[in-house]
Amino acid sequence: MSHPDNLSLALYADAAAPAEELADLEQHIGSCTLCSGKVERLQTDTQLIRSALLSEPQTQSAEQNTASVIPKFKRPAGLREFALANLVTALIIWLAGFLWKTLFGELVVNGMAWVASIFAPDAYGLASAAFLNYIEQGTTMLDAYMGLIIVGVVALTATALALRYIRARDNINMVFCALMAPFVLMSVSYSESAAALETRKGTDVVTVAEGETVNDTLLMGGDTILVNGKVTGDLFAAGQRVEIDGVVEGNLIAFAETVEIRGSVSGTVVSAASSVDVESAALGSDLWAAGENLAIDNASTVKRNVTMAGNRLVIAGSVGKGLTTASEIVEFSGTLGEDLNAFGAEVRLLDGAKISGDARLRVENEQSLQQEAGAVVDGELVFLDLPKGQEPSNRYLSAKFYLWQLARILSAVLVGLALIWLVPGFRTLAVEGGMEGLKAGLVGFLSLFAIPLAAGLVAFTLIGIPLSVVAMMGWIILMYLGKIVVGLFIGRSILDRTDRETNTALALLLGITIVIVVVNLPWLGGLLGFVFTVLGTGLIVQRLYESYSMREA
Amino acid sequence: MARHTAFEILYRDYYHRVFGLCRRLLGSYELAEDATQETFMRAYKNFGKFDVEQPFWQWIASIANNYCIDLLRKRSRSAALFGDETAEYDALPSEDLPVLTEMVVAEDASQVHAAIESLADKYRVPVVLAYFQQESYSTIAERLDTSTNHVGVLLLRARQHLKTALGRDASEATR
Repeated sequence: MSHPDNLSLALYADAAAPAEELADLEQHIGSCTLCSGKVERLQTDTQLIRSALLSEPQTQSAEQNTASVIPKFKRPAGLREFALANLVTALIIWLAGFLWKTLFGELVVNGMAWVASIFAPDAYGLASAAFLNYIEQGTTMLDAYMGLIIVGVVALTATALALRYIRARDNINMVFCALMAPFVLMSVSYSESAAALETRKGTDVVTVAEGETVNDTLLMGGDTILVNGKVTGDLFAAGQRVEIDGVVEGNLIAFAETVEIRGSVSGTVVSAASSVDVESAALGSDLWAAGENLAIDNASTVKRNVTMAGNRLVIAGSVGKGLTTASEIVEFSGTLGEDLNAFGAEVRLLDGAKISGDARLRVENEQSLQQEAGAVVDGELVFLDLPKGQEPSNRYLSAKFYLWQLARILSAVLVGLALIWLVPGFRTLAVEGGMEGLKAGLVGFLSLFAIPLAAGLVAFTLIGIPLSVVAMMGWIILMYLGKIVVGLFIGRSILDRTDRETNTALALLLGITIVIVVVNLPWLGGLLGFVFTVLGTGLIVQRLYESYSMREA
Repeated sequence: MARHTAFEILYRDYYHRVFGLCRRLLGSYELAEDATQETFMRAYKNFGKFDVEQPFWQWIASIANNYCIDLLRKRSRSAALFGDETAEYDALPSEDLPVLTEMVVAEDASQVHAAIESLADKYRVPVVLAYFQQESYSTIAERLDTSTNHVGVLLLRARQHLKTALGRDASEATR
């Protein structure tokens, strides 16, 4: 017999030689020193490999770590446990809202008011309102924004890939140029406007002095902004108090606690403030204002339309065209060139009021109108029902709604797949019953409130601002991923009931579709969406903490 | 409840062994953590089917082996993870057998272990199954969905790569 090949010798050395060849091999190896030497070396090497695999000295420390910290076994949970966890989490959320509103809220607000700090109750009231709104409305708004971003990113990626593909197949650079053109135009136009822009800012009073002329668009920021001079371009002003006594030839956009306009503005005025007062002013175009109290005195004129929304509106001046209001109380004693459209609880037409067009009042009933004897309406006085646009439209009847939900599902599936690819452990995250489910809910709930709170506190320090921004971004991403993790869990729980191997992508698609359907349910959708977010966030945070603990141990 | 308690005891007793096996098969600490959890999850689900007459380790190791191999297949995006039989055979050395003992400083198992870790999945997995798990060639062939001959070829090729890796280390050490 000639020498057997290396493979036969290796099989023999590992006692894996085929039975039909075994006798011949034994006979040959027994009589051939070359082959028996080879077999001996192979067996020595096998021992070496085996002892290396058994000892594993380099990673011993890592394995010893796992010996000291064994992660708690999470038994696979079913949908029943998941439903229970949802119920418990919903109760936690409700209880938190109730306690805050009734006990803590009342005690602290009243207590702080009693201590007579003026601003603290306001700040607390704002924070309290935000907290309660967050509990009541859930993450709907953030979710929508995040969804928009993700859908946008996915759409852009798809466009880029499509363009790359088209370009690779056929040289149509023009397509790319055409797509880029709007962006280029935008950047060019932006840089031009930026060139004709002047900014003035300060911590106290920022002014355009009397007799001074600013021949640019002007941006002003400060505690008090005084414009006594002339601005030939647009004026953007933001501060605690904005006073316009001079001339603005362009548009005026003002955001402040108090806005007072006593000069003249040729362009449109857009203002949002706690109080907007137009006194002896001449406005050459439209006025758009929103705030607590809005007033136009009898010496003021607005050449075109006035649109106002606020708590109390007092209009005594002259409005060239129409007046549209939305407020609790509207008092009108001025002159109006066209129609009055008023939407609110109470409309008072006082002596001296003259409306050249119709007065269309969208109020609860005719008693909501107080018309004094000297108030004149040349056109018709009409009481209208709630405008069609104000009635909540049925979103389920529009195709756009379903397209948007489809885009959300696909985006979430893609993000979910990327997440599992990056962190495979998230694939097995599961909501457990009993105390574990409760723990996940509590951890999620606390995380959702603790992160923005911590970010807010950190943001008070200059160095903490970027950290705070990063934390908030992470928080939003966490909430988005929370629903995806819950979706994956639901999908897996359903598919695991079948005998076939669970396909992760299919589980994601199924689970996320269910989540999207559930969060869009009328009445319950918002709360369930929030509960899913809380549970998913809890699972992610717990998982991250476990991994961190194991590495730290 | 008793079932759950019994399983938790087994979980604590066997966690490290399963983790060690997954760690060697996957060559990654992070992946092994997840694979260990998944292995126990699957075991829990099928605990009713476990034959108490059989050793628990054999049963759970089998689950871990199959899961890790599936995972490696998925990550490589190829069902034929363990290579083309003919191509691997052709790449075998015709004359000299790779001999590792000459390349390794006595008692330095860590050197060999590092070399094993650096092996490609298709070589590392049969090495772990054959020499750590001490599974027979036919069992390995069944797991890898290939022939016993191919298992032998992969193990020989693994030795060849180990020799190259250890030779590289030795030359770097003497430089």
